[in-house]
Amino acid sequence: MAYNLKTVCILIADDNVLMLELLKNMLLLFGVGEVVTSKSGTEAYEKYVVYKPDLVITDWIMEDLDGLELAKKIRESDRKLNPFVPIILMTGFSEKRRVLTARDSGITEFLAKPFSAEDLYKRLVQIIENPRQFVKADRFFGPDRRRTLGKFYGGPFRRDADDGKENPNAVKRKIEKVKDDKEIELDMVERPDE
Amino acid sequence: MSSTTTTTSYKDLPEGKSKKAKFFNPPNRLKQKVGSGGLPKNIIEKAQEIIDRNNADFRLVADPYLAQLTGAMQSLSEGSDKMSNREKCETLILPVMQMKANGSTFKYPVITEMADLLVHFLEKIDAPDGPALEIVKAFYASIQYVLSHEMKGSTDPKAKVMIAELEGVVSRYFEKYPKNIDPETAQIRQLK
Repeated sequence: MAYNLKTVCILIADDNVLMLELLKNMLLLFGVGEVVTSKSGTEAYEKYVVYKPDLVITDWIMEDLDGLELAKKIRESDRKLNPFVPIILMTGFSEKRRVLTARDSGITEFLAKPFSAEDLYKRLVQIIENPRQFVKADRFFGPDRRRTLGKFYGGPFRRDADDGKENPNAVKRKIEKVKDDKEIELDMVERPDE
Repeated sequence: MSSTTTTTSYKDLPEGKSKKAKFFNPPNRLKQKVGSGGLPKNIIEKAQEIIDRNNADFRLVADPYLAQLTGAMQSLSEGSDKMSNREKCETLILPVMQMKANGSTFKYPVITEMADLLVHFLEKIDAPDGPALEIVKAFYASIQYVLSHEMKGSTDPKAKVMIAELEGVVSRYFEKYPKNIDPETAQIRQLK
């Protein structure tokens, strides 16, 4: 058995027409039934209203309405649309402060440009298999910005608690290590409204 | 057209109680539609071939960003008091980031690498001062060289030398001007 994407509709937005075409062809090859393209954020929102896609993939920097504004508009829309739609943001930015800004606008996943087919596929799988819960707070509505740490392998610190006693320093180091490894995925800023 | 329908919109959702967030677990419509099992490996490989075999002319993508970068360099050289230092850096970062994002996809991984290095440099500095602008000009000239000599792929020895030189220039800048680091970036580094 494999994924059957025939009934899936994906909306993609990028002002780079060549990139738009590449991405569309890749998604069609994955078996996606319908790929709707937009060359701007405004056009993307108009098409979002009409097509009600199952997933939105948008570039960040676009002239009229950028990817973050598009994400906010989708999340906050008054219309009877799907405010929970997964949104993947494509961008060449990778600095932490940019990632945090994007995360706070309600996007679901990041896709760092340039990306490979494998990268794109992994984001799709992440959205299908591990959807984030949604949060509504005073100043935010969107996918939960935290990821559950869960059980993790502590790497070089794994034997710190071998004696059966809890070692607070070891636990702290483990958490710091995971934070370093996954800083993009973790909630690193205070969120007083949540 | 997708058959997905939703009965809730953002404003219909209940408010979280006094400063507390409200959590929702919406139905996983995508999972319901697609089922399980992932995609076969050969499909992913074929999708990768779409990227690898595309013959689009990267000049068409890069030229507008190079023009944007030239304009930004010129305007900053002439001096502009209307913008904050961060905004000044931003005018340089945006076109460079686009070149980083697109280079590899259109057979110019060297440009992605150079632009990535420049984005990091521009994100790190506090103000685009004269010497910093000279560095941007050096990157610009290198990117133009790569394009005009069609240095595609990632194995060109000349390109490797150029990247090593540019890395050297950036690290020498920070040795010489250690105070010109964006306070926010510096704070993040200190926290780490």
